[in-house]
Amino acid sequence: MAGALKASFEKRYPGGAVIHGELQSNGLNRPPEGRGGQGVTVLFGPSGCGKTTILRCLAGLERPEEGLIQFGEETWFDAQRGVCLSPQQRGIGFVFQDYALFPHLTVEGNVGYGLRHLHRSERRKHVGEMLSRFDLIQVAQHHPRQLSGGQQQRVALARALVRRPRLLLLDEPLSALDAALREALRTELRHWLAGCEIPVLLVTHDRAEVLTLGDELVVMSGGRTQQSGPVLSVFNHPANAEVARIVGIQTLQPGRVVDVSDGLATVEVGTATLLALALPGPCRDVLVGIRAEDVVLIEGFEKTSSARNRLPAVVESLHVEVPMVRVELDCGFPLRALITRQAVEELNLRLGTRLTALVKAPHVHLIPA
Amino acid sequence: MDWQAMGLSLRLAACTTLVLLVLGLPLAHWLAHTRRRWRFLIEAVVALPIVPPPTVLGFYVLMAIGSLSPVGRSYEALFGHRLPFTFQGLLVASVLYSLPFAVQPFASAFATVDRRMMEASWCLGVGGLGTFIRVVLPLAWPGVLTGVVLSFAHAIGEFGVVLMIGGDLAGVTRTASISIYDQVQALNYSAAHQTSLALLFFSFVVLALTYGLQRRFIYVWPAH
Repeated sequence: MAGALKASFEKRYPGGAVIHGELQSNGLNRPPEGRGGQGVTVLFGPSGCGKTTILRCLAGLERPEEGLIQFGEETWFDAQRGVCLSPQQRGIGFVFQDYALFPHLTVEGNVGYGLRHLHRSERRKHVGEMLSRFDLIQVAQHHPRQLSGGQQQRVALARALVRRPRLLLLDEPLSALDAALREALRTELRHWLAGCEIPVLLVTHDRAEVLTLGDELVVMSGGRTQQSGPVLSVFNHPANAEVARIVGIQTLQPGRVVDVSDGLATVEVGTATLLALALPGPCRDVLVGIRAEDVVLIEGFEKTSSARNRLPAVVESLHVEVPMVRVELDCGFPLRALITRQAVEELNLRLGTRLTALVKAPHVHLIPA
Repeated sequence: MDWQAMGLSLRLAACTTLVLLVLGLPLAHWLAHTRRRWRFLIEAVVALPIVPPPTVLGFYVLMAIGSLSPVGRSYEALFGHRLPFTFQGLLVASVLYSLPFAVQPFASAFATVDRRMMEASWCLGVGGLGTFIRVVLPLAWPGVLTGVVLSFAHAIGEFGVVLMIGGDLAGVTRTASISIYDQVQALNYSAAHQTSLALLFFSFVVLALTYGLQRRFIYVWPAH
């Protein structure tokens, strides 16, 4: 029964913004073997696309105007029948963006907050279990302001999970931390979430978090679900240009399939010709997507090179981004590459440098136009 | 010094503050967190006693609770005596008159409580009243204390409304401020001076204590 969340609703805001929530049971599937837990579904999209609104509607903190939210046999929201369960009735755990720990309570008080209905000894036992599971025993008597970011996050998780919720919702759980800590805690959070015996729905706008934390992915933009499925499948096979951009495919160029054989498609892009894994079904006009980090740059410039996906290229501009350098190339079509600063020095890259760009066929993503 | 009047003033102020806590806390909570568009109307009504002279408020309260009004008649039928010119009548007027001095500090204190704190509490299965008592009040208490002190001090010092509703009955409705007025009218300046000084001193002590306590505790839970 767990994971049987089905939601399809519409939240309208004064001023015209409309958020469509679409989460079907396939959005909360069991994870691939070996990842443990009930699976983490990530709601991913640019800021302001309505991810948090959807999470709040699921929690009962916002009331949609239209639609239906069901969890297992229960109806949490039904606009037509006028049903809307309160957050208290839904039995969910919610981890807020900045954790929303109660500043006037100790760690122990925060974790035990939702267990008032239990007898004192019972409550102690549950809180104690959570404190040891989340490595918080040392700081049990501290107040939230005395805790590090990572400890605060663990308190928020412990506080939500101690009530044995049926669904855990996390709103941008790492964005309250500074960059260095965020990276370290990403893996740690994966570890905690994998230990949850319940389905987890997480909202983020960070691609790295999607890849580390997610099993299933729901890509949103402009208040709508654009695509959903297993994380890698969505990252490798974006359904449209919008999703391709959101999952970080920086080069997107119109192309034309001129030949298909042995599962490989020959595509003309600008004045260049590329080999790519063919799309299922016939498709002539496509968008060709290439991730900047999948482009390899090597010395040498042969106009006549006919080897697979070896593209003679000219450097158009260089942009230093920490820790990588973004290189804009012209190789018959505009191509973007992301390489280390060391590589820039080794290749002695300048404006107008001629070199060769390599892209493996599986890294050339074809999107039906 | 008129000890009887002093005692009555203290009793009236204490009762007023208590009633304002019961009525004002939920009202302020609603004002601070409602998303209703007509909230401003309620805010204006709550603040109304500040602007017109106390005699105006006193006059209408007298009309509203007098023997000719439905409220006054049903009160008489229930309790067997009329409301004006009694302590209870005084209390009604005093509560209305001090309402803004309690509700406004309460409401601004509640408004500073991050809504997410309340939402976190709801998501942990705790209902509205539980959330109010266990999260909102502990986080907003400096503002609540300010409201309590202000309304208490205001209730002690009021004159016009009390005179309109209660008249000047010794031991029943003659408060300290009315007693001072009587003493001055009777040219008994030394008695007036004693009562005035006592009120002044009392006010100072209460305010000093409040600000002192706030200075000490208000930064205990800074916004992070």
